[in-house]
Amino acid sequence: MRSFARVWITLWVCTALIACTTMGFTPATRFTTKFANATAAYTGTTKAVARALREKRITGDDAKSYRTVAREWRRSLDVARTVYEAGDLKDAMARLILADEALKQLQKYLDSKGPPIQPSLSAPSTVVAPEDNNG
Amino acid sequence: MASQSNVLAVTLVAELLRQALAVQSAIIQAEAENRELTRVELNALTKRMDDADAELDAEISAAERENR
Repeated sequence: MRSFARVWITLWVCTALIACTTMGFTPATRFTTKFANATAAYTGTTKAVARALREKRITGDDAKSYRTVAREWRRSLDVARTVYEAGDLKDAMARLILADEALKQLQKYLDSKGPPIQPSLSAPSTVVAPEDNNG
Repeated sequence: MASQSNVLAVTLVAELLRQALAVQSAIIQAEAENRELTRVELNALTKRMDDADAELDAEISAAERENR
């Protein structure tokens, strides 16, 4: 039987890496650029899970569990954008932080699949703090 | 198993980096011009998420069919 814990840990470490990378390339200071970084993390993680399932490195149940949590993450991102487009930047930033919370839930799920990950590899927040610099 | 995990790690990192790089040019340009991303750029980001969701749904459906 495969060690799914190891697979999930690997997946999570990769998510942490991309979060570091996306935050490191260009420091995002605006709502939309932070949103862009969050979407890149979401898209990359989701496509990686799909690929892992296709290559039978994880089970369908593992992928479904990811999808359940990821949908919350995605919903938060969509709501954040809707609120931003309605002109409420402060609330939009708060919604992005909620999306970050969904990401932390995903981390908890992945952590539950195996031993804790080294602190240095824990995912940083994709959103640092709310700002009020609309334009 | 270790080898398999290593392969998985490499492929996952590659996919995640690809997605990050895909949005960097738009972010750099917007930050340089001191502006928010446009609606068109945001729509493109949303579409990428939609495509990833569809890909995952398709793989889960395929796995379910296989298990029957």
